[in-house]
Parts: sequence; structure tokens; C-alpha cells
Amino acid sequence: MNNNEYEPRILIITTDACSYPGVDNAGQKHLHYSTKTYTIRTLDPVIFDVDWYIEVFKAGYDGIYIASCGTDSPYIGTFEKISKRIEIVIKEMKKMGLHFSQIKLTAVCTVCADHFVRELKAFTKDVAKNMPVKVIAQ
Amino acid sequence: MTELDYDALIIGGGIGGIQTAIDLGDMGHKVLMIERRVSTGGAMIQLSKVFPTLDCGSCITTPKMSSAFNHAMVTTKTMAEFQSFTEQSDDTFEVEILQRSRFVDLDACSGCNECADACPVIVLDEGYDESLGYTKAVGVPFATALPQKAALDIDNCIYCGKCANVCPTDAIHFEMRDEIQKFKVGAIIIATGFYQTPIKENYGGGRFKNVITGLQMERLLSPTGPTLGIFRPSDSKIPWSIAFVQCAGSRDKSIGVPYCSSICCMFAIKQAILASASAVMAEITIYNIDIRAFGKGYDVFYETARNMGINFVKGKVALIEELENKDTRLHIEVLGRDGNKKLVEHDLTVLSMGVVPQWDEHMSKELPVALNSNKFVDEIRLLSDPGITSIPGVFAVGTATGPKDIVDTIVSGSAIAGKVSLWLKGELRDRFLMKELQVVM
Amino acid sequence: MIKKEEKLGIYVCHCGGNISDYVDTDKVAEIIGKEPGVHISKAFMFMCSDAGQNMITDDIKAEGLTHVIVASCSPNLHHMTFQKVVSEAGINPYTYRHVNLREQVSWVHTDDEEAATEKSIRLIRGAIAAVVKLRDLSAIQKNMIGAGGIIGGGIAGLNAALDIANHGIPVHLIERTSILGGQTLNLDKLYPTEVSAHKFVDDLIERVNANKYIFVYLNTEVVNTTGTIGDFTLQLQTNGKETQEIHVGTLTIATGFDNYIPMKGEYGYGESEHVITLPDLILTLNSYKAEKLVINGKEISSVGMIHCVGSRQIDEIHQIREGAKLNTNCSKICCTAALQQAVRLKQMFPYLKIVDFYRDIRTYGEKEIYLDQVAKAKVTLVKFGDEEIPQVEIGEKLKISTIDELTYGIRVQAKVDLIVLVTAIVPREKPAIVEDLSLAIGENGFLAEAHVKLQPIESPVDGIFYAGTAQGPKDVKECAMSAAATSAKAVMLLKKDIVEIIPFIAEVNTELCDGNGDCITQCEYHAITLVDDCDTGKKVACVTAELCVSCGACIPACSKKAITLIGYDTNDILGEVRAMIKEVDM
Repeated sequence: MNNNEYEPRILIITTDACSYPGVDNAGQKHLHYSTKTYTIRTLDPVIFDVDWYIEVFKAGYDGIYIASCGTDSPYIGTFEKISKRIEIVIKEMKKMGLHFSQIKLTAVCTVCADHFVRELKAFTKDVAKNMPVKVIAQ
Repeated sequence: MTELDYDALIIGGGIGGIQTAIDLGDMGHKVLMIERRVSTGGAMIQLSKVFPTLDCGSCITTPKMSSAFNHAMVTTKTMAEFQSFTEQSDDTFEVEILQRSRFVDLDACSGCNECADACPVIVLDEGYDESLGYTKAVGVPFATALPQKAALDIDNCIYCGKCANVCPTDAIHFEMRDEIQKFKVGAIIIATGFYQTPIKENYGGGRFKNVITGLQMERLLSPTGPTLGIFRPSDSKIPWSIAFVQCAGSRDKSIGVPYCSSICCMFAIKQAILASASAVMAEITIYNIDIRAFGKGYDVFYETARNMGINFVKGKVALIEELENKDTRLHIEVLGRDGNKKLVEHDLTVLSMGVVPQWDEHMSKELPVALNSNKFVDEIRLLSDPGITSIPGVFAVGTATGPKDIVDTIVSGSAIAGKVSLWLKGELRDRFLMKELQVVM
Repeated sequence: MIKKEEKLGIYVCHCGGNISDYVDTDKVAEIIGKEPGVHISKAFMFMCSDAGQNMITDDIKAEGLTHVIVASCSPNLHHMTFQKVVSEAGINPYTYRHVNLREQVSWVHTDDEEAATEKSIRLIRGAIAAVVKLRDLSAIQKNMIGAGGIIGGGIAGLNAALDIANHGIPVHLIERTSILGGQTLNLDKLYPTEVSAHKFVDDLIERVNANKYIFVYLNTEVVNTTGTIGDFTLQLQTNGKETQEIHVGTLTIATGFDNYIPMKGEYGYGESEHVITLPDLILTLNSYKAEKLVINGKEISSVGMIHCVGSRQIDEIHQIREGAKLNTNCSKICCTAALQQAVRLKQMFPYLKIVDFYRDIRTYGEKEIYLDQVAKAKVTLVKFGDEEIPQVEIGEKLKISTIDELTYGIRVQAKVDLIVLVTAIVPREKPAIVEDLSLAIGENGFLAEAHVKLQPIESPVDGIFYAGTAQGPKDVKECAMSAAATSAKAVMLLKKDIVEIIPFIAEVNTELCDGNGDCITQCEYHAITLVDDCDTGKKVACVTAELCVSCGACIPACSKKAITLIGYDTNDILGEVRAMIKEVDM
């Protein structure tokens, strides 16, 4: 089985204030990334608890790319809270046999299209390389 | 009283005009905002990041642009210029607006930009990209432009018709013409912002490719810029050493700008910080007389820059020369400890240009508000009633009255909206007409 | 999952080829048409056109659609357009969903039509799962008390009061001292117009007193504040005894600043009575009549001024009071004030020798003119470095020495009769209201605004604004500007009878809530409190709608899953996520 041929399914979590327009900006520039990426829109990813992320993996996603506002968030203290939470998510992921590189917390601004696409491509590759083989067998 | 088309006319769709429009709209007034360029957003939408928070510039501009543009009480006209006004006896104005032709039907255009892909004409982008990038003769002006609709640049168009052929909504109309539109309004707000001073002759007068302005540097640093990184204009080389020259067009009586432009110390420091992240190996020096980091949290920003290894040298740059390899050589009168005059060489030199008003004597012929000694619109009640000009019912906001940073421009937008609202209510007349100017200003 | 009575209408836009050239929009409409609950599924050239909008309106009316989804360009362009269309046709606008097939599908996957088509189907499926869970919502409405409150009767408070009252709106102006006018009364002339500070303040007070909508409370402190936007309750105490309660819809905080008092020994302060502060000097000169300058019994023939005393402090270079915080801020107004006083000294006593020790002269904007004036007045300027502190020696003459950066780093010394310390603008001791309403204090001790760049006069709490120097150093002109701005913001609220709050707020399921307060500790906006449940009497969490900013930080804190964010239920979002990954039978 060759990990490189499989296109992992990625959930992209965006924010209204920053990354959703940022992902739009990649479209305006006609940049390309994997078609197996599915975007949802939130006010701030701080709303999701550890279980929620685990449920997303259980539903069949191979990677979660969290495009937050970073420290530019319109809300106080949320980025720090997400960062701490993702550390716990990674511990739980390990218990399930998942690799830490299958989740990424990052910041995407409204015009950071190139940065976003570069990073998403690298992430997609990383996930394909490091994800457990059993999922690929589907 | 005459039936008004709009309670207020705002001349200028930069951040100052936008804030005034939003606040007047929120107070229940019907507003017309006109913008000379193809998009609203002014100088702020061109910025890479803003000091001292290093927020992405477009990220914090676009929400304001869109809330003005989509406001139920605000009508926005782009490519529209103020022409003339007539004062009516009942404290209202009749104004004439020149609506320049866009050659694109705004209602029909879906912003898909296929016209730009089809257009064979490549044009130097003198607006958004400050002559560092290229654009097409037709298309949506830039990614965050509002309205997000195409415009056709008739001066550069070769009338090949390719754009009209590919346009899925038949939105392109070559037969469109400029027109004069007349409106009755209750107040006029000048929000025309600033220009950068031209590059001085002793700095090359604009002929040296690697001597660029502060706004050009913004475009080089911007994620939406023409280069996506700092590459110097002459040869696209990543610069090894960058000079910032402060007061390149301010605090200089010889060019008629005796005042301090207020914003350039901070934006040079910001650009230096951003440049050190983009061109990691570059040595960066800021030549200055005083560093004026006076706003809230600004001095810490300056301190951060010093701790990052950015050099601050006290000195006046007397002359800039261009070397054969296009490097720039600066003649500096060093004020500091290590001696007198010095010659230094840098790959790229960024000039902190002065801030001069777009509303100039020429504009004042059509709408004769008094100007102050620095040639900005005079606020005749400077200390108590900001924005009040010498003509009752005419107000000025943002950098039209003097150099201001973004924060102060936004505050002035809200402040003047409040004053305009009072005027429309029939108040404030006495404040405009008070005789004893010296007693209470 | 989908209830029987639900009838969904799905509209897939070609965007004139922008989508349909890369996505098989007809196939998308066809496959989506087979999804449970979908009553209509169409592809159309331009959904945003009049024809497209009318099609939706007609379908809602003729077919009785319960939910509408448009799959077209980015919602940032047309979400509002279609929200309006469905709303006018009788569907709750909060239940409208928009799918982005252009910016996030066709334009980024121009090279793989099959995959782009499949992705489009998945995204719409996600939206279907989400849309049926959305509740009908409307903005939360709250009554607005039509009177404004202003705390602080300095120039910012006076200006703010006038701008609200001139709209015919009542204003309560509360001042803790016995007079209006604040610290401007201690000044001489105001820059840059050089108008008399007293005349300026008198004019303001006269207009305030003449205004029948302004109610002034002197010698009055606000001892307790409660409430939220639309209805704040202020407990006032006058002359330390009588108390009364007032109700206001908005609050403007204009509590001003304090002058920094140097530590004993800081540049000789407190060790010689001829080391004074700039505010001391201005006060002395204000009432000074004699021809010779005599201060504390000594005839003064030379003056040294030292800038940045208490401002722009750097760790390990500047000493600070025990327990105090480093003041890294520039006080903004003191350079100009010092130069203005230097010129004044020279005008009053032309024989004086003045040496001005500064770090950077910050006469920004039009204030640069004062730098010209001191040069003309022959004041000697000495620039010291950021890491250099001028040394002061107390003796018969007072000695100031430092390395002068203007003369190639030569150590210079000035022997003077009087030293004037140009002291910092520092925040006032925290007013009680800051504590009562949990307002944020910034790094430098001044009130922190909602957004440094975009909302510079708004507090993070709705309905509360900052005028003048309570928010940071400002000159008179800037105080007037910020005061006028706060009043504009207050007026737009006070003119309404009702204030509308977006309905996306946290909501507590009181049956599940065990009142352990975990959500409360996560809320940075103090929007959640514990209250007694009327039915059961147990302690449960309660969200104050006016304070909730919809960030969702409280949601994951609850082990009982008793708190949700309206419009963003994490379970429903999970449903959307699951619907997107279900295999598509192409």
C-alpha cells in the first residue's frame, strides 16, 4: 500500500473574521489544493471540546486543519485556550493510533492565501505520510 | 425646508469617510459617500500590517468597508468626484458630482474577472500597487476591492472587444459616458485624505529604482502585493541592507512642509520589523532626527524594534546617489557619537515621505473652506468642536485637517459624525459663526 | 433526521460559467434532488439576478418551502442578498444557508471536474444537515433608557455632555470635586491656539450650565454600578453622605489622569526644593507677577528641564517605586508642554538661561512650531540617549550632566538654579466603576478599548465609552475629538427606544446544569453568573445576553454539556461534518 497515492480527507475549520475570507482569497487567486478538503465556518474554534475533534476523526476524516485567527482573534484569550486544548487532543489521538501530524492549529488572515495554500498542501502530505495505514485500506 | 436627496455628502471613501458614513447611518441619517478611485478603502486598504498590533491591514479594513458599503442608509459611488456646490438660503447645499464612466454595469457584473483574463492589455498599476505591479485594462481592481466589480480603464483600452465577448452577464458597455449628477444635501464632509510628498531632487527625484516610498514598501510587504516578498525593484534581488530615511518630506521648510507628518516614525519601525521577518539576512537602519512613537503602546513597539537589532541612527540624509549596480549611497550628517559626515551604502532605500492634503487650494476654489498655515483644511474650533470649517455646514475629517494615524482618523470620523448630526438637527450654527475666534477655539 | 414537514429548496448557481465550467452543476442539482427532505433542486445561470431571486420567492410561495440553500459564490458576497429574499417571502432569515461553490470549489479545483462536482455535492449535503437544525431566531430586544451618564467633569466630560444634550437627550454629569473643569484649570494657555485655558473652560461650563438637559452632580462619587447596555444603575454619594440612584442607558467614562509624582531622590526630587515638576512650574507662573523669578526664596537665573520623568521607562535602566509597574508609555503631550513653558519663561524673564534635556522631541503634527519657537528663544537643547539617564547633583548650584547626542557624544554639564522635571501622564487610581463593570485595564494601566485600532473609544462592554485621558494621554484637541466621538456612539443608542442584540448567545439548559461554575471561569466577558433556578431552587448558570460576545469559550468547559451557543450547536456542526464525508454515488 502506498501512502502517497491516497488523498486524505481534511476538515478545514475556519473563522468568520479571518480565515474564511482568507480561504476565499485563495479562490480569487485561483490557487489549487486538494479536492478532498471540506470547510466549515465558525465564529471561533474555541467552541469545540476535545471529544468533538475525536468524533471528527471517528467519522472518517484523516486530518483536521484549524485555521484560527491566531492572536488576531476578535475574542479575548481564545487562541491560548485552543492551543492548550489541541495538546490534549493530540494525547487522545495517540491513544487511538493516530499521528500528531494529523491535526494542525494555525492562523490564516483574510488575505493570507499563499500562506494558507502552501501550508495546507504540506499538511495534506504530512497526513498522507503519517496517518495509520488501516484508514487507507477503506 | 427643501426636500433633501441626502442628509450628508461625504467626499472620500477612505477609512475616515467610511467611519463617518457608518456612524451617520447608524444615527439615522441618509448619506452619500463618493470616492474618486475605483474602490473604497483609501490608503488603509493598501497597507500590509498596521502598528502597533501588527494586525493584517486588509483584515481590519474590509469589515469597515463592507459595513459602510452595505449600510441601508449609505449610498456609495466610486469613480465619482466632487465638482461644485451652491449654498441655499436654508442652510442646505446643491452639489454637483462628476460620475466618471466605469464602462461596466455594476448591477450586472458578477465580479468573476473573466474580462481581465481575456484582456490583452497590461497596464502599470499606479493605484493599488503604487507602480510596482501590473494590472489589466479591465477587471476587478484588487482582491479586497469594494465594490467587487470590474472597471474598464478607457485610457489604456485598445477596443478589441475581447472582454465584452467573454463577459457572462454582458456587463461591459463601451457606450457609457461620464455624467454630472446633482443632489441636494444638508451637510458636506471633506474626507479626502492625504498624498505622499513627491521625492525630493536630492533623493533622486523618483529616478532611482531602488529608492522607494513608504507606500511602495507597504506593497512589497503585503501578502496581496505584486512581489510577495521584499525584492528590490531594479533587479528583484532580495536586499541585504535596507535604509529607512525619516522626515524625507516633513519637518522641512524648504519644501513647504514645516510640520511633522506624525505617522512615519511608526510605519517605518513597523516596516523594519516586517522586513526583518521577510528578508531575514538584511541589515536594517532607520536614519532619524527624533523617533516619535507617541501613541498608546507605540513606545514599546519602538523598544521591540531596537531589541530585534534594527539600527537607529541619528542623522539627516543630505543626498542620495545611485551607484552603477543600482545600490544607493546615502550622504548622512550623523548627529550621534561617531563623528561627522558619513557615506553609507544600502541595496534598498525607503523614504518616509511627508503627508500632504489631497484637499488642496485647487479643490478649495470650488468649495472655499479656509486652509490653515500648513495648507490643511482649517478647523476653526480646533480645541472644542473638531471638524468645523469656515463654512457653516461643511466639516472635515481625518487627514484632511492634519496628519493622523488610523486610530485618530477613526476617532475623528465618529466625532465629526456626531457634529454633523447636531448640525442637521439645527444646532451648532452659533459655533460656526462665533466671532471671537481667539477667545474660544 | 429530516422531519416529514420539511421542504427544502436547493439552488445551484452556474455563475455564468464561473462555477459550471468546472463543476457539473446539473449533476449536482440532480443528485441533491434525491436527498431526503429536498423538494426542489435546480441549477440556474445567475441566482443573484432578479430572475434568480424571483424564482426563489415564487417557489417559497407556490411550494411552501421551509428552508432555502443557495450554492453559488462566497457568502461574503451574497449571503445577505438571499437572506433578504427568503425573509421577504416569509422564511426566518436566520435559517438561510449559503454554500460557497465558487471561491472554495470551482476556482480552486479548475483541473478536476469530477472531484469538484463531488465536493460540491458533499458541501451541500453538509448544509442540508445543518439547515434543518437551525432555529427561527430574531434579534433580542432590550429597552433603552433615554438618558446618558458621564463620569468626570473635566473638558472631556463637559464636551461629551454637551454633544449628547444638544440632541435633546438628558445627561447626568457626575464630578467628584466641587468644581467642573478638571485639570485644564491648572494650565495657562492651550496649544496650539494659545487660547487661555480658563476662558476655554469657562465657555464650556457656561454652555453646560445653560443646557437644561444636563444635570450636574458635584462632590459626588459613583459608589456602585450595576446593569448592562440600555439600563445601568448608578449609586451616587454626594458630600460623602447623601446617596441616590440614577438610571442611564449608556455610560461615558471621562475620569482623566494623574500627574506622575517623582520618587524621593529621582533627579534630586524631594532632596532640594529647587527640583520641581512641570505642573508645579505652570501653577507658580500662573499667578506670578514680579519681574524677577524667585522660587522657594531663591532668585533663579538658570533653569534645567529634564524630559521623560516617569515615562518611556525601560527595565533595568529606570528605577521605579516598589510594587509599581514600569511605565513604558510615552506621555505624548509633555514635550510640547515643556517647550511651551520654556518659551513662556523666556518671555516673562528674558534674562533666564534655559537648558532642555530631552530623549526625542515629540512635537508631532502642527506642534512642531514649538520646536521652532524654543530655537528662536535661544533655549539650549541637549539630547540624551535612550539608555542614558541625566545625573543630578544637589549643591549650591544644581548640576545636570549627561552625554549629548547632538554634539558627537560629548559629556555636558549644566549648572542651574532650578530643575523642572517634565513628568508623566499616569492613569488615575482605578475608579470603582472599573471594578463594578469588570472593565479591562491595559498593559500601561489606562482603560483598555474594545479594539485598539478599530474601536478606540468603545469599551469591551456594550454601551460604555471612554472619553479623554482615562483611555491614554491626550492633548486638549484630542480630548475634544474623543469626547465628540463617544457622544456620537451614545446618541445613536439613546435615540432608540429599543436596542437590538444579535441572538447568537450562549444558552444554558437549566435541567442539565449542575451549577459548578466551570463555564464562568472561561468567560472573559463576565457574561455568566450563578442564579437560583425559580422552579427547583438550585444554583444554575445564567447568561447575560448584553455581555455575551458569542465567542463560545464557555461551551467546552461544561462536563454536563449544559451550555450551547445558539446558531452554533457543536452537535449540529458535527452532523454537518458527518454529512460531508458520506460517500457520494456519482
